[in-house]
Amino acid sequence: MKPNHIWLKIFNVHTHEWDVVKKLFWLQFFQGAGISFFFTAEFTRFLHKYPAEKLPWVMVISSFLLWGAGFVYAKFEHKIPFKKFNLGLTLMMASSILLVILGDNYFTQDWIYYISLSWFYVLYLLNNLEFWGIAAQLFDMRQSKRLFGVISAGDIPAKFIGYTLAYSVVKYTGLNNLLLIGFFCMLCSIPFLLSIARKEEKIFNHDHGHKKVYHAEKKSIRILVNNFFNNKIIFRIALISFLASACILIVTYGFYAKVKEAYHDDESLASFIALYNTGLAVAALITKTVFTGRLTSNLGVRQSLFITPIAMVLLVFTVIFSVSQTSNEMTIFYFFGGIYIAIDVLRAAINAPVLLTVMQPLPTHERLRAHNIVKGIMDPFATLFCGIFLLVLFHIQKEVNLITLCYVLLVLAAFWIIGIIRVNNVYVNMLVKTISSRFFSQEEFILNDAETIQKIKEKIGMGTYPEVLSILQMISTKQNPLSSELLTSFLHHPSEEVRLEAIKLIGSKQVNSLKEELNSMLLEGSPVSVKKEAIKTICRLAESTPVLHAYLHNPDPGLKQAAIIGMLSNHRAATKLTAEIELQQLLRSPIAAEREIALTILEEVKDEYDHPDHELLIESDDPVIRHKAIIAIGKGALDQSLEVLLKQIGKDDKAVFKALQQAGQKAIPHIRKALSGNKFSDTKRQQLISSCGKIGGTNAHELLVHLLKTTPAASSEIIKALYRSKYVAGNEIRPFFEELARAYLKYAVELLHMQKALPTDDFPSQLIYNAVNLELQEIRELLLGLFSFLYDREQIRKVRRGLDANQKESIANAMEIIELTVRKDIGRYFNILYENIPIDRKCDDLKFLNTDIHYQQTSQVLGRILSEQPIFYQDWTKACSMYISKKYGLTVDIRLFDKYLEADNQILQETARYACA
Amino acid sequence: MNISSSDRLLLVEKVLILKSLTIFRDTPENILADLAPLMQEEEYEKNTLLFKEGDTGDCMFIIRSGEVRIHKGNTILAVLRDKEVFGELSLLDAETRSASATCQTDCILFRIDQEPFYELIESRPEVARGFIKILCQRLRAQNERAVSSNR
Repeated sequence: MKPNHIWLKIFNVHTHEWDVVKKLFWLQFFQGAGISFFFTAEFTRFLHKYPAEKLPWVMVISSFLLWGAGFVYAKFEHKIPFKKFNLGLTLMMASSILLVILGDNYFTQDWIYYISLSWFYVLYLLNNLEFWGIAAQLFDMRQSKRLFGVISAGDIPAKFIGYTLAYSVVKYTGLNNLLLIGFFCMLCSIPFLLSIARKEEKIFNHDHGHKKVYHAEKKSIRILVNNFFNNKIIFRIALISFLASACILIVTYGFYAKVKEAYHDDESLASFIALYNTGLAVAALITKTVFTGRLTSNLGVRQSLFITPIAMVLLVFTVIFSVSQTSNEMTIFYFFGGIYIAIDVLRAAINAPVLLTVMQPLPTHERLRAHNIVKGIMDPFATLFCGIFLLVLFHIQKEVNLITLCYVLLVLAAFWIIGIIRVNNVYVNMLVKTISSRFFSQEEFILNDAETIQKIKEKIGMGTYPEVLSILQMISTKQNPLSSELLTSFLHHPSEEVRLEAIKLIGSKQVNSLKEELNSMLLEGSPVSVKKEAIKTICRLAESTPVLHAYLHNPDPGLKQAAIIGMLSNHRAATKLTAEIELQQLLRSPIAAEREIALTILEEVKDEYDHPDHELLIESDDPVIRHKAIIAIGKGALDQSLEVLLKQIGKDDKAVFKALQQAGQKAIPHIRKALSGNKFSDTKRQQLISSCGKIGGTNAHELLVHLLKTTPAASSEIIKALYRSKYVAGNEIRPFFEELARAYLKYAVELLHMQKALPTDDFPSQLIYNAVNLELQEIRELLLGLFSFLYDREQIRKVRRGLDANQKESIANAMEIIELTVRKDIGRYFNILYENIPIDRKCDDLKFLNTDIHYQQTSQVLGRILSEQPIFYQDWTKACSMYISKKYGLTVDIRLFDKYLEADNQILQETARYACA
Repeated sequence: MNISSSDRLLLVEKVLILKSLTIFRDTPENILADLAPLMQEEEYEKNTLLFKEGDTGDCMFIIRSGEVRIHKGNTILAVLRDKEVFGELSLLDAETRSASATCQTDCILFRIDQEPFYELIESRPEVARGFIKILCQRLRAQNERAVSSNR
């Protein structure tokens, strides 16, 4: 089958995956056929010899065999390289069929019948473990969703052919020869296994990678059990698997018990079993190949899990209803047969692949463990449970009563649905955890009990400077109210830094009870820095102004400065006014040094206070004074200071933009005013927008959203600014952002078509291809920004991290979060756009989003970029386009270069001049 | 790659040169476009000492043409050729040079100084992010080599 063939589309397989999918399909086909022959032969032999009531004994025996097989599998799986292990397993399955043939010929006792039929379950388990083990290693989460339905469908045509052949040939070959055919089928799967191993050498030659994490030795069962109970998702998936298996076992038992009553000789029995299973296989094949992948992609993993139990409930109700309407045994039997078909098909075609998909976000080693737990522990447990339950039921009722079984199925279905809801509850958390497993939450502290305070005091006495400082910081944020006792200990610490921090804390938290302690520090001959800090705090906490005069008129300018700073932060108006008068004198002083002292004071109190004369110094001709005045802008800034601040753009940009951010909310009206005019260049406007984002808050959000609606040229910068400011869109604005996201998706599709039109084999096209790729990455960032406004910001942050990690698994998990978090009609297209699939396929899948695209030549692409359609491209892309058109003589309308001749950006301007020359 | 043969390279062409260097291979061109204006083209005659061991490093060099000898006294440690880079760590710190560098032939070099680079990363943090990424990759590769040599 050639790539791009219609089959690829029907099966939802990408070209690069086709080879391995095809081989996995055939691998499963031959193994499935072998097992079908085995089942038909052994099941018929058993039912021919014993009544159906004996079937539960087979279940009980097989459960122990399954546990044994699961244990041996787990033990060797981690000791033998992947390739050798799977090859050995296939050979072992084939040779076990041979042994059963020999056993059937040489032994006639009852046990051989029971063991042989029980061995079918073991073969089924081993085939499952091998096949899904390989598939789970080869595909990531998103591939799994698409492909598991198709690749696992391999055993369905196998069953179809197996059962059809069995039906046709059993009359001529006899039952034992069916086993022989089964043996050869099993051998036929080996070349496909080896071929996959050759192609995926890296995966197959490893020693399971997680060998160091999980040892299948003495501790293996304990580890397995611990994992089972400790890992919520594994536990819940295992329970669902248990319930699904139990339901199918009960339905099978009921159905075959009635079949046995209807058919008496082994050939007619074998023919019926084969024919019936053929029908089942066809239905399952169609469901699995055509619907499973699409259902899981469209409905999502979580919803798809409900399909099987809900279908079963509906069918069981139909049977119960039909009983109330008719007493005809055969009608009930046919209905029950319907349940058997539906459940078997849905379980094989939807439930099993979807359950495996749910496990995919788990790390590889946990995924394999989960698979082992589900298949190796829970399925055998279900077999044992059903075996015992059915034996007890038969013992009580003395017959196989289908209606009783219907009620049992309803109870199990109820638990099954509850189990699915519980799996769904932890599924998103698991995805997030997989991406962000390196994060942990901080502990909460309780710091006010006497014992803790005593411990802290001891630590303050003995700890090193950094330790004590971090205790102080911890106390300042966690303890409420602050303990004066502890603060006094900090004030007496030998480290100057600790004492300074403690004094600052006393001032900021207004701990009046320690004022005397501060006064005594001034007399103790403390270092100057400590004295200054103590004066600041004393002046800040003082209740009367006259007592502060001594500090205010201190001959030491440093101490005077400290006093003014403290007084400006004092809550008493009189104290503050006194300090203001002193400050004004300094600000208007003809002596530069005094003006600088005034600015130092303003810088220190900038978040609480500003002086009306500050603006004079912001406009100063002296660049040193001007710079100092600009950096003295803070949250307390007055409007006139901010107004003159914006006039300094172009003179001291770095300081101005920093000052705007420091001014916070107060700067927003001034930024709005600045952006409403045409005074500033694009670069400066971008910086103002960015500052707005850094400031954040409601006013900044309002301004940015307004700008987004009115100035599309700056959309990129605005969205980034909104993202930085942690913006969350309210209900009334959501449609606008969703529409914007759709528009960006549409633009991205056009960019994809541009890439598709570029030849892949020449340098200039490659260069422009890469530039367009950067534009697509930019759109990805913008879309993620928009998603974070609309949906769960934290989840989108994880998505960004997952995509940035650029690992196959992390990308797949990130896209899964997008599917769960973002609106379907947006998230789905986002995933197609950024999934690692061939560009032709992406264009094809998304063509309906933008139908008006016809690119054939590189020059068309360049023209579109230079006319800034459909987006405002980055300067590099435009420079690149002009360079290529000139250098390689690609015809582009030269008038398109004109507007870039005066561009702000150096590279753009230079390239435009070169292109126009 | 066909770079302009004229004496002065366009910024676009400088970006393409940067992109062709191993250390900037994974850095997007739009980020390199910010770095390109910092590249100063300088010509040196054969046997010019570019820096000597123990000097404080404050720039990195990219060889546009010619050969540069890295040596400790008379012992030659390496001979670097076109599109090779040396002194790149000096862009981020001012440690002393661990060896001397001398032009083995007439050379044309691009020089990127630390100070304008610092200014650039202040205004364009993504440049710093790109550079940090490169250093992390190198560190990881070095760690892996150390681990495998310990084995």
